[in-house]
Amino acid sequence: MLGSIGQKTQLINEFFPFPLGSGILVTTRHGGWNILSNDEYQLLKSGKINEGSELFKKLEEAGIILTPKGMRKAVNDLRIQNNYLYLPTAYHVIAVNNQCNFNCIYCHPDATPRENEMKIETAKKVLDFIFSIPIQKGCQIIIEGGEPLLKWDLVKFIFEEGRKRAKEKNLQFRFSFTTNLSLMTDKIAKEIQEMGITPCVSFDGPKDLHNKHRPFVGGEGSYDKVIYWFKKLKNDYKINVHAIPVITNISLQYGPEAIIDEYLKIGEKIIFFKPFRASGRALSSFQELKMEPEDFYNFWKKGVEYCLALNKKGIEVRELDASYFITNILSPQRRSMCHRRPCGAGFSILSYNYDGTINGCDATRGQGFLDLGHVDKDDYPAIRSRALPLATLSPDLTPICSSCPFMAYCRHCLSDVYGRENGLYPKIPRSFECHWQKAAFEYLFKKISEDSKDAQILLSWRQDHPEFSNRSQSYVQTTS
Amino acid sequence: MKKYNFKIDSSSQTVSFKISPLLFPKAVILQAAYHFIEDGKVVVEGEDKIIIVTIIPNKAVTKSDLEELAYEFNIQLISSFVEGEESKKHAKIRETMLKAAVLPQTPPSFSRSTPPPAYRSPAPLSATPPDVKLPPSEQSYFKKEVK
Repeated sequence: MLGSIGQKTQLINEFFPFPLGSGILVTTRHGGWNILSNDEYQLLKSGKINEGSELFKKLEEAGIILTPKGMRKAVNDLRIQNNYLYLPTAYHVIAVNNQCNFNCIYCHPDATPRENEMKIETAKKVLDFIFSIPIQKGCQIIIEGGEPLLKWDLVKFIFEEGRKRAKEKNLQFRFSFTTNLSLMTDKIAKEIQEMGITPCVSFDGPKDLHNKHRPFVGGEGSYDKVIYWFKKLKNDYKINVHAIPVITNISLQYGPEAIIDEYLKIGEKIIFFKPFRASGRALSSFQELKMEPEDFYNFWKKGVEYCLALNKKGIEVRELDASYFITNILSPQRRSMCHRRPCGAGFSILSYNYDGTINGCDATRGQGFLDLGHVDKDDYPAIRSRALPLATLSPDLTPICSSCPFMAYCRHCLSDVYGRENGLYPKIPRSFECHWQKAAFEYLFKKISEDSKDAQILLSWRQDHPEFSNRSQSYVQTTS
Repeated sequence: MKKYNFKIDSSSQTVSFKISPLLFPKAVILQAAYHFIEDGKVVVEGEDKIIIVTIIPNKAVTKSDLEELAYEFNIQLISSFVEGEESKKHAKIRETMLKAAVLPQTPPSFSRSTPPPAYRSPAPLSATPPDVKLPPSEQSYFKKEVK
C-alpha cells in the first residue's frame, strides 16, 4: 500500500521525450514507455490529463503517471532491472591457457603460440573459490583460452570436478567451452557427446572474410577446418554446437546478408552481430578494424531487415542484439549480462586467468585493469567488495546518459570503453556504442510502431521469461 | 552587427564564447562544452565573473560552419540548463523510487572475517515494495499541475 500518497493522488514521473515519426516517444528511467500524438504530448506537458481518459490509462500503465498501482510497478521494474547487483555470481569463465594456434586479428586476450597454461593445482583452487560462493540454484562454467583444445585433459578435469561438486551442493550445473575447432578429433568429439555439453565456435562468415579475420599462426585460412568440424559435430555427433561472428570494418565490406547466408548454411538460426572489442590484439590493428558508428548501424539494420524478410518467407532467423534490445524495451528482466548497465562484470560474471588471477569479466582479462584478486589469497567477499565501485557505471550517474530517452534499454561494454578511452567511464559524445545504439533504438521503436508484420516478428524475438509482462501492454497489443 | 556571446576567428578556425556564470551555472557550461568533444578540441578557462569556452574543430571549416557551431553551442547551453532544472524538479520522485527499489535488497555482508560469507537472499522479485513515502512538496506540486 502506498498509504502516504493516498488513493487519489498521482504524480507525473520524470520522462524523456524523443520525436518518432509523426509522434513522440516518451520513456522513463525505469523503462516504461509509450508513443503519444503531438496533442497527447502537449497535454502531458501541461499536466492537464483527465483521470479515467484513455491517455491517462496509457500513461499510468507506462509509469509516466504514477498512481499508487503504477508506482508499485515502476519500483518493482527498477528492482528487477538491478536485482543482479545483489545476487551471488553464478557465471564463471575459466581460461585454461593463453596459448593458441590461431592469429586472429582482433584476439582480445592476445593469445600467442607460447605455452602459458593453467596448472591443475590452480584449477582446483578456482573450483574451490567458485563453490565457496553461496549460489542458490546453479552455476555455469565456461572454458576459454587461448584454444582450450590444447588443454583438453584439464577441460575434462574441470568438467568432472565441477559436476561432482555441484551435485554435492544440489546445484544445477552448466558447462560449455569456446573453441576454434581446428584441433578437434573424433576422440574429443565423442567425449563431448558423452559429456552432453555445448561448444561455442567463433565463425565469422564467408570463407574469404573468415580467413582474413582468423588465420592460423602460419597465415593459412581456417575456414575449411571450422566448417568441416562444425557440420560433423552437428550432423554426425548430434552435438548442439553454436557459432558467433565478430564484426569489424572488414566485415562491413561483405555485408550482413553474406554472413547470415553462411550461418544459415551451417544450420544456425541466431546471429549476433557483435562488434569487435577494443582490447588485446585489436588495439594494435585498431585502424584497420575500426568502424564508424553510422556504418556499423547501417550494417546491423540491413542485417535485421534481411532477417525480417527471411522470416516472412518462413525461414526463422534472428539477430541477437536486436533480440536483447527488444527484450529490454518490453521487459525489466535482463537475461544477458552484456545488455545491462552497469554490465554484469564483477557481479554476475567472474573470470579466472590461467595463472589464477580473478578478473571482472573475460573480456577485460587481457587488459589487466579489472584484476580483482587472486585465487591463492582472496575469498569471494573480498572480490565482490572490490567490484562494488563498478555499480557507479549506472546510466543514472553518467553525464548525458542520465537524461537520454534510451538509458533504460542500452548497454555499454566495460572492456570496449576501457580500450577506446583508457578509463572506465564512457565519454558519451564520442562513444561508438552510444552512437550506433541510439540509432538502433530509434529504428526498433519505429518498427514496432509502424509495420505490424515486422513488429510481430520483432516482438517474437524477446528473450525474457514469459511471466514478465510488457511494459506497454496496450500499445504492444494494438501493434501486434 | 549585433554582438552575441561568441567570437569567430576564421584565421585560427576557432569559435570562443564568453559566458557569465551568473546566467548559467558552471556545471551547465561544462556539460554543454562536453557535448562538443567529438567535434573538436574544447578548452574551458576563466574565473568567477566570466568563463571562456573555445572550440577548435577537428576538420577545416568555413566561417558559416563556425557560426552554425556557435548557435549549436548556445542551443546546447539552454538545453543543458533545462535538463538540469527538470532533473532537479524530479529529484525527490527519483530518489524515492530508487530507494524503494534498492533498499530492501541490502547487499550481503562481505566482511572477510565471517567465513562462510553470510549472503542474505534478496527479496523475491514479486514481493510488493514497501510503502513509498513521497515528500509533501511533490504531492502538492502534482495536485497544482493536474487538478
